[in-house]
Amino acid sequence: MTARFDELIHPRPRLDIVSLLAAADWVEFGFLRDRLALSDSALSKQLSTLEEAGYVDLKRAATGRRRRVQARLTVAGRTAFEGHVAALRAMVDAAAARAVG
Amino acid sequence: MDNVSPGQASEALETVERARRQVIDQIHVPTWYWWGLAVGWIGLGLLTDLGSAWLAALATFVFGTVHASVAPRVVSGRHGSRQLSVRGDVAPHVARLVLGGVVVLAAATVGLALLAQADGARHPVTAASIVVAVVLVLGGPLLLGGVRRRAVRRARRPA
Repeated sequence: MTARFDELIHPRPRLDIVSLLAAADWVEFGFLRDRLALSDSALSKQLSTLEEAGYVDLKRAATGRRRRVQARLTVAGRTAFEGHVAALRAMVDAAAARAVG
Repeated sequence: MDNVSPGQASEALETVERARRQVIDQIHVPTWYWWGLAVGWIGLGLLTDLGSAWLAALATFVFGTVHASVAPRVVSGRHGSRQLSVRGDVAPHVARLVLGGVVVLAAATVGLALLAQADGARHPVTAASIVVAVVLVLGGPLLLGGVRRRAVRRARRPA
């Protein structure tokens, strides 16, 4: 995995959103909203940003009277997330090495 | 990136781990699965003790068929919540653990029944089935708890 710091993913709450999506095949909008304590509009805005970047795929479906939105990471999103985590680990490891040396 | 300190990077990594734990918490095999197995187990034990071989064989076939149709949907633990689907690599081998446990308990039932029979019990298979049913109902959720803890430990390991 190539370490690559991702400016789009890093800011909260996008890092929270992408981290949740990274551990799942898909996550419902309601789960993200409740876990991250965001309003519908705030979460929609962040998901739209990630969708425009090609990191997240949103699937909208109507079941009965409810509209459901499922979010999933795209391949590009997963690659970017893994690269970002690798970059964060490299920063922490480098700081630890400097502290020891 | 230059604006991010090692401390902030460490906090971000904690955020990633916390999110993963929230998803791991959703790994779940429904309670009704354990209870259904336990009730079916006792039922099979009762039928075996009644002495009707064909009835016991038929019931075992029905039980196996129902289990085979239900288990694939629930024993992976990945679809315990309707709000998300846990990725297979977050908690691998859950289905194998659960089904392996069921096979071990089937063998334990036979062993316990033989012991009970040697001890002169009137309904040895039923007695053995009840013991195993209790293990299923109490042990199933404990097994899943262990799976979740293992998944969290795996997540802490650097890739």
